[in-house]
Amino acid sequence: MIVLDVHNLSFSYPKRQFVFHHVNFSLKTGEIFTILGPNGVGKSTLLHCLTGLLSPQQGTITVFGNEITALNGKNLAQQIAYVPQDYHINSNLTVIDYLLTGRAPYLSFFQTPKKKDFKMAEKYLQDFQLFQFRDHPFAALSGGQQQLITIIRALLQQPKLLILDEPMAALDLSRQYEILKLVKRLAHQEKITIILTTHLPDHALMLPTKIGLLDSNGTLTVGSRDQLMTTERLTEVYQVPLTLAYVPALQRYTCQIKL
Amino acid sequence: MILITNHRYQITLWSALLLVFVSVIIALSCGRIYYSPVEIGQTMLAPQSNPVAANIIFNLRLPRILGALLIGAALAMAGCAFQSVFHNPLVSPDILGVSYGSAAGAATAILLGSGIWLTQTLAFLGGVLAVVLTLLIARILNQRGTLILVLAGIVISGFMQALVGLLKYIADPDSQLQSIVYWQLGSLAKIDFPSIAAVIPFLLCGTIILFILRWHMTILSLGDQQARLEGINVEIEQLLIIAASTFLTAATVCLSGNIGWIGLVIPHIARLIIGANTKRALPLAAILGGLFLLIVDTLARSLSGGEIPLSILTGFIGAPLFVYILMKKKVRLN
Repeated sequence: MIVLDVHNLSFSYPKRQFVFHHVNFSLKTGEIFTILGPNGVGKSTLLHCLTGLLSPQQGTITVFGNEITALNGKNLAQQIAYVPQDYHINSNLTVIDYLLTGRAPYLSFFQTPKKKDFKMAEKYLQDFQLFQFRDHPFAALSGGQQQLITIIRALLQQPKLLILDEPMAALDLSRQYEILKLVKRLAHQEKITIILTTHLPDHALMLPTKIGLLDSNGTLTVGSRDQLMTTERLTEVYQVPLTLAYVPALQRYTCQIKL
Repeated sequence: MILITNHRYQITLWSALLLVFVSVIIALSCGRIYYSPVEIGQTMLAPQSNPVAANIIFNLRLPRILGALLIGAALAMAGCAFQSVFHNPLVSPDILGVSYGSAAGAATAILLGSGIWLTQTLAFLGGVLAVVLTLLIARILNQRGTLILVLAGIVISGFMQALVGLLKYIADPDSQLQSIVYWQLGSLAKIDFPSIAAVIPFLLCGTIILFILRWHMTILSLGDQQARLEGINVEIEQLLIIAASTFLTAATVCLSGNIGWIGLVIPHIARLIIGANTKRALPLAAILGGLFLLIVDTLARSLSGGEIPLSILTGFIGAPLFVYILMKKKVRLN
């Protein structure tokens, strides 16, 4: 089933050149889509358009056949959850209070979180072995814990499409491992469609994922891993000497800079 | 680390209410004439046994106490709401120009020689007008976001301040000027039950809106973008919260003139005790705001033979308290 369909999407900030133009892709249930590209090329801007935070100049975005401009905020929030790169490190809310804000799309104007919502949030905290931090201030957690909590918060929206902006940035290897495993599990077991951005091509090589390469001309090339994860294409996009090498122990390719 | 659990919240709330109860008894006792709590109890149960005491307690002290609790609570709630919506800890209820707008309205009425009712009405209208102008300027500049609102508020406050200055300049120094200054410094001396009853609908309306939206304010405190992603209609809810807070602030200015610092300091104290979640901080701020103003007003009428204007006392207490809060918050950040 087609979850997200993006057709002919172009965006520019007022009186500037297009950040990206004529972007086309569509994603099915449980599919992972990794967007790669150098820093500052417009990956986050593209994600902002997909979440409805920015309005594109051209093109359409449809979720389950409905254009997102036609959906109301609550409806959209029940389908798409977004974890931005700059989450709220300074939030003084406790972990549980922060998580519960993720239930807002399911509560009416007059409601506050109910027992059921608390139970849901607590279940996730237990699953991720973070329950002991339930009443701690969010800001007091480590970077890795905060990233996990922000993803749990997005999951509490029970989304069909989860958008993660640089979820592995600034995390140590064990936390990266945890997040990558989680992404895989969510897509395969929970059938959530996931879009993520990363600046490390290796992340894309670890996941069973569709690839989008966003280059500095604002063109998004979409294809399978075999088609796009080649030395030539990646060199072109990142404009550094790099090479893809097969590692038998991993049974996969890895991407390394030539230095 | 102190964990902020629901249990702790309940205990805090009930303790604060108990403190309010004790303070009410003390406030009923204190004043030019001292009555012991036993005498107060007797008078309350049988007013005819001591008509002088009954008159003082029912007609002078009780409306003042009720007024102090309501005004303190209203100002603290408005401050708490504004600080959440504008994501800014330095914002207070008068940030959008309410206080100076009301002062300008009241000063105009005093200059026209009108009675207390017209003064209160004009004060209310002045406050609302100031906020409408602030919102209008932000709209004309055609920019979204909260910073532009704060800037427009500063502009309107400045303008209204100039207006008050002009009215003071042309006021009769022997009679009117004194009234205007007195109004600007705030006092509960003229409060009676009818004037409280007159503003109750506005206080109720504002309080209900803020209480309904108190959890959404928690989400709004995470930033407009995050709130939008949760499906919240940020513009409409902000406008509702601003309207509710304006009603609360303007209603208090009608009753008592401008009383500074409560809306700025009390929400911080509430958050320091119970955490950043507005859902919990709002009720606690309301109780603490009422408690604080009750204590200050009781001091104002008991410390000296005359009445000390309230803003003088709230300033002397509020300023050092705010420094303490800032220090305490810094410790937490480190």
